[in-house]
Amino acid sequence: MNILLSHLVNRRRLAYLFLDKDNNLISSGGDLTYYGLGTLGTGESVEDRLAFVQDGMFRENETVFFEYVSLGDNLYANVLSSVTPNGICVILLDVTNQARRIQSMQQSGNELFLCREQLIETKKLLQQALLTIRDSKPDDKI
Amino acid sequence: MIKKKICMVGVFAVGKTSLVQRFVKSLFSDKYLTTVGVKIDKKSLRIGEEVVDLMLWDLQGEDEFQSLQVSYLRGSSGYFLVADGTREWTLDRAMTLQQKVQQTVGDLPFMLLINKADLSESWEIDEKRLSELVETGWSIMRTSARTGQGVEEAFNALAIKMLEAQK
Repeated sequence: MNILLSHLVNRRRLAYLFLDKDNNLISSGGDLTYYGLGTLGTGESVEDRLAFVQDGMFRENETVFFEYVSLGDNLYANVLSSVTPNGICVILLDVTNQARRIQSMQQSGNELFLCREQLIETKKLLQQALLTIRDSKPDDKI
Repeated sequence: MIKKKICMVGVFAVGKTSLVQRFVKSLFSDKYLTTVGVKIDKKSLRIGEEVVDLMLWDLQGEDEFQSLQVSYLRGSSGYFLVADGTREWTLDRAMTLQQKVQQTVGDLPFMLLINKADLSESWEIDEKRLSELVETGWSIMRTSARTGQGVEEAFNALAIKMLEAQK
């Protein structure tokens, strides 16, 4: 268990926060500094520091998972939260490297798709232009 | 202060991120940069006597790799469906996404934004199709993240709809 926890803290930058029902910090642990939360004090509202924390976001007996939440400065985290009898538990795991890889792959794929769309459109326009030329000069050989 | 969460929903490369950047930072970049996951921005608006803090959830667009993750919609007060006026199929997909969002979060105020109004000479979406949607009760605005046309107005209009819905 300690090895797993150590791995999560060191490699995945695990951080966790316990919040009260008004989203104020009760307690916290892990690598909070990595997420810019090192100075967060007990009793302080988390809403201004973590934009995804807001009223009505977390409900009792429900676990919420947000994948690839951008936390600014090219930082991405997977966020897991659930409401416990002691408060709202929010867990952050760093996925910045995965997000960069996905971004690069998606970017290439989507750019290719857009290029293909433009090629199809250009082909249509060329065909129309060709037809117009043929119609306007029926006796000319092109 | 009232807080309202708005989600930007649509397929890839329709301009969701550009609309948010235009609205929040008055910026526009021609460079297409695909969104991974979700980016959250904030902006306050004054609507009459009320100050509304808008939390703008810019969701990654649906593409070959990713479909809409409905967990992002949790706690929303309203949403924008965004389509690209120069690509008609993005409107078809926006309509499918609207059904998916409605099944997940119920009847929330929403608006359809037909973006890239600055390229109107290349538009594939015709007025007839939009008129038919308006007849079914949809609110539609033409926007351009490049020029800013209709952007402030759209966010204001949705904020008003959300405030009216909570009364």
